[in-house]
Amino acid sequence: MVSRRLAPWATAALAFVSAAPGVAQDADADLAQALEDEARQVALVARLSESVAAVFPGEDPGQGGGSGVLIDPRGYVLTNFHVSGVAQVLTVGLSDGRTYRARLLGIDPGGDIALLRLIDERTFRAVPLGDSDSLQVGERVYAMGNPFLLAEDYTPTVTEGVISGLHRYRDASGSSDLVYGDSIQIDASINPGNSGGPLFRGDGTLLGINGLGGFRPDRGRVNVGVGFAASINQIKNFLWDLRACRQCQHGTMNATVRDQTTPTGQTQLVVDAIGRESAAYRAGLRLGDVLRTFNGVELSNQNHLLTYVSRLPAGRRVRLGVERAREDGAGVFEVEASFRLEPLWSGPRRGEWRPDPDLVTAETEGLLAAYRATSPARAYAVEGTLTRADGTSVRQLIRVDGLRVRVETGTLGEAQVEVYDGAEGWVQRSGEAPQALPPARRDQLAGTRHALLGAQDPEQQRSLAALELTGGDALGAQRVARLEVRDQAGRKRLLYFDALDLGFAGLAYPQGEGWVEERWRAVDGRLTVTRVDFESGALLETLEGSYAPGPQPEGSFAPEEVR
Amino acid sequence: MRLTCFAVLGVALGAPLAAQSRDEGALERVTKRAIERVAVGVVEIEALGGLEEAFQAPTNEAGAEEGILARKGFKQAYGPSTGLVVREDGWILTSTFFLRRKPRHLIVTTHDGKSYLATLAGQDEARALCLLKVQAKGLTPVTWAAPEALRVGRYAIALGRGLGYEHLAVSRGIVSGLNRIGGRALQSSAAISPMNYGGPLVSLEGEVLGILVPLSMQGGQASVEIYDSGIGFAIPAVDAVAAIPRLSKAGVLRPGFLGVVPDPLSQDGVRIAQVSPGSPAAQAGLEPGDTITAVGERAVERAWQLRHALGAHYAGDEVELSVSRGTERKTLTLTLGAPPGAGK
Amino acid sequence: MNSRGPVRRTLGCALGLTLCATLPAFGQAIDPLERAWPAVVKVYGAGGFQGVPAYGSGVIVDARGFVLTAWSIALRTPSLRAVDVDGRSYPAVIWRADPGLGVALLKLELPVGGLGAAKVELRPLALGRSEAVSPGDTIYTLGNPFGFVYGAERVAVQRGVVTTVGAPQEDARVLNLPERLPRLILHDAPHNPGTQGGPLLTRSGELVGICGRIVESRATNTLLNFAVPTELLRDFVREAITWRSPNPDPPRPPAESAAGPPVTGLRLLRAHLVRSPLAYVERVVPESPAARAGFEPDDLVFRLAGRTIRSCRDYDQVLESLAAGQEVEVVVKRGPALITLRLRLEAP
Repeated sequence: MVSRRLAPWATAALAFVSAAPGVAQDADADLAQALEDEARQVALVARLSESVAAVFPGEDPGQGGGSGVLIDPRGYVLTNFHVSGVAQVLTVGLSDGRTYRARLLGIDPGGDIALLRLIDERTFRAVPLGDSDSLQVGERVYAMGNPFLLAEDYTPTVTEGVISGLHRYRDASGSSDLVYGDSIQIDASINPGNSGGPLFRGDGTLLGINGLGGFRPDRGRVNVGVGFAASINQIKNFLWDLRACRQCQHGTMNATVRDQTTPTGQTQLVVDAIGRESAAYRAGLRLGDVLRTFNGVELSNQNHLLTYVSRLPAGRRVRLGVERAREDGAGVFEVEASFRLEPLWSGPRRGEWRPDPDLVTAETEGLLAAYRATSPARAYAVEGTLTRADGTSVRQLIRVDGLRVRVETGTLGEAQVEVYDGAEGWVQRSGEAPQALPPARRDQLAGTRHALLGAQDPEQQRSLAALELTGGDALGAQRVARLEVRDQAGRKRLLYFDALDLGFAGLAYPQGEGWVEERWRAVDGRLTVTRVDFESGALLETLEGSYAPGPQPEGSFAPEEVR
Repeated sequence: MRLTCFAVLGVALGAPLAAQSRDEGALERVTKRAIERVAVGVVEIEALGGLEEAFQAPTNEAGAEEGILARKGFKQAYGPSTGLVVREDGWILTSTFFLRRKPRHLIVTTHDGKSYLATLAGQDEARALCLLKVQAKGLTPVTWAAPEALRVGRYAIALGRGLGYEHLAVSRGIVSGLNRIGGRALQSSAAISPMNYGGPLVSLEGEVLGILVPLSMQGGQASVEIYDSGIGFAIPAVDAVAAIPRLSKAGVLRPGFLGVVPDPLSQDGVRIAQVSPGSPAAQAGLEPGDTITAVGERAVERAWQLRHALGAHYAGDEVELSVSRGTERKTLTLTLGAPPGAGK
Repeated sequence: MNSRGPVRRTLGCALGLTLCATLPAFGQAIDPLERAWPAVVKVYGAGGFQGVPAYGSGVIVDARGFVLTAWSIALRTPSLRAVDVDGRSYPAVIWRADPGLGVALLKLELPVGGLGAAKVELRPLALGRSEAVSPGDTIYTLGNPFGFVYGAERVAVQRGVVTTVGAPQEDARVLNLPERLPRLILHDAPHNPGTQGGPLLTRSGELVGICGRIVESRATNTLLNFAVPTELLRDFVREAITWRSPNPDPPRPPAESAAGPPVTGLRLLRAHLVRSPLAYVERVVPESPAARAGFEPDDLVFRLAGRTIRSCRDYDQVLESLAAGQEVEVVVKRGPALITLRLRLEAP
């Protein structure tokens, strides 16, 4: 009785052929095409299933829970915070039918994300992170997970649908903290238990974490075709904080805006409250300002702004384009305000949730090991042009070897040479005798060298007071990991590592009253170092030139060599 | 060598942008042909009489917007159900959905509008299936898909006659999962409800992957909450086909009951936590602490595997259990009972 | 704020490269939808009470500001307005309503131009050929489920297939369905409060229907997602836009004839039994059409003029809808058989 070809078909097909000659061939081609696409879908789903997890807080599988997805072969699993809670130990079921123990690393209560790590020696099949900003509305997507804990064998449920909307801002009523800031709306079926599960694109990349469903009260708590996933591009902004075992904080401008309809029917955003102590106020934002752009993108309404702010962690720098009425009433003028977002505390109160310090250490060591495996240069030389914010420029030559550093600035007749030999420092200007470096400058050079060497070298690391992965940041468009370093003298540095290849990406250090953020970009032996104000991002200076790794002449760091 | 760090990049899975290259037009045309092929074997079933509907029509638009579910007196749907012609001489397989109303008359109407009085030949309480017989010859049976055709991620077209025999109701989703509800059902994201219970879940080739049934994850009959929720169930073709000869003879098939409570944390073999007194397990001498390692030829390591292995059997079936107690290993043959309280 | 100078100097130095990752705009859509989007508006009426949503969707069908939407009592408000894809909000009036068809045509009040008011160019969507739609077709709907997007935010897109096309036999048992819909399109794309009034598009983006309000089938206890096919709307729109002023009052339905249902001579068993709503024949009036057709007592009427009869009430309803003078088929169950009788209906 089970057979692939039976008589009734033959007659149906015959009737079809006689009615429309030639159509049958097209029909065969259609079927072949559709089956080929379908086979691809089946293969994709089978492969992705291996990376989808059933997540149960605690040690007992089956006692409530949700879903998750493996994003790294070493066992990192993304899920929803409302699935993991603050359970230190979780049980994770994979499609091989087995369960694994997992530890909770970091949480993002505001964005409803948590990061787990499976405790197992094996490597896992992980999925690549996609780019949720390149999506198109209407594009086909797949949601996977374990709704209603249906899968006793932990094989995930897969549903298929399309992108209904992008960059949606939804706050989940009922739990005030929870915000789906930059979320993806889908019409694929999402049900209780799907929470924490992945949303995939047709190419198998991860687009987001499903976690919020629209429900109709008269239909019970089941899918109605309105589901929301936290977008992966938002999650990427928090990944290093999560891996650093932090309780992530989303950013706030400490100002509120409201939509105002203009006489022409347009909507504009008006600042209607702002904290006097806020960074935004310090940066110049004022009551009544009309917000035009956020990081260069035109804003259309309040949801739009909320989407962009809430996809960023606290401490991320933003730039607002503002329109302000002239005092004399004669039109408007434009200003810009640039500042770092302040924390919008959400989730467990301070101190209520603490990660295991051993986990932080393990993650820090893991990152350092990966960085050291890139064979970073202990010695190098940079020669180029230093351009200051006022447009003036000067030649600069920097030599570094281990702890020692020599900075030669200026040209013949106007040169200045600064040397730090690992203990003492000197400065010599043209035509003057060498003298001791001012202590602030010496500390600046020393602190940076100790910090960088500590990251490069396990021996040097031991001489530091602290070296810890503390989260992530962004240098321009580049997402970076941030290590916080303190040496024995109490000097603090932030080191940034490019999230993609773990190359050195920059650092931050105190200077004068504030801090300087320094961004390094090396391409084919050319190096660009950009120094900006840590808070506002205002450009201080850039250094562009050649970069040559390798040992430096021994004598260059001795004071008597200074001419 | 540079290690890839946190984000696993550059490991492109599958053909790049497979979704975008897809030809929606081909899918649409193939879907419609598949519907056409199966339609002739999909019948309407009217169940008349029996329990009265308790329904008060709203008197205004606002009342109607409230939704019938919120209203008192709501009872099960009374509309037409759907069935599949499984043999040309008048055997119709359908779901037990309408039996709950204890109808007095069953009338089957085929795609061409011909109506037949039907009798209930048998029902499968474990899978919510029932078999009807009408006096007819020359009906066109549906074509069942081969077992290997059933794969997660395949398109699944749900068909029903819930709008009347002259309208085939179509919805499309994919096969979402296998081995659900104790291993008895496949899961699909197509809209599944009384509109198509008893109807087929059809592949792009126009073959029946499974028959849609009102099972629910909570056990018992699916209720209105999960209608069209993207979670619906069907009995796979291979199991439905296997049930037909038994249904035509047996009358009522009940789920097989062993009478053990397995330890949910069992890893290598299913440890028995409790044995129900008087159950087939108790009669066969199983005790708490015993470990079941196989049902027939099927090895079982975890509790769900035991449930799935037993789920394949009905009450009255003889099964062979491999059991270990301490170092002792033995094989027991026992006859599964019906769950306490099942049937009347 | 005396001078912009200091502000500019202290704030304005951030370079492009210190920005965070380039931010996305609201997002592009796949081709057919990209074309339809500018024609979709969010409609705001005066609902929000008793489950009638105040928000909905609509489709611009004429550049002069005519918008098709689903009929709802929520539209009857002086504060009716619509918001287009660029976030512009327009006051609107009901130009013409047809509750029987379940639709209304709105007219947006476009800015007249001049000082401070940019000239608005609407991008309407033409009514397509719904006649070509059939079950299994891929369709998209655009709308604002639960009303949570506003301003220039784009409404939601849902995809599905056509479930069926036609006038389902069950229509009389569907709650809240517009009364005079001779044909409708049912589909399986998600449909929620706020989606009503939005467009139903084919996979190539052709407008083939206007999404209706949420209705429920009593027969199946399911929600039916229906759209009013454009073939029923062409004349409605064509005629209404020639009017010079709004005429929101719905046309009166034709007066019911007071004559009552046609005569058959069948007497059903209407004993006040709790359990039997079935249409059993109790008596056949001699010399009546029923007698001539061959009815007998104890026959169970199962189908009348193609409609399934599950109860005496069904029988009455169907009979009322039939005109005297015609001959209809009646299927009855007599003993162990179903037989078909031909019944000529007579004027009362």
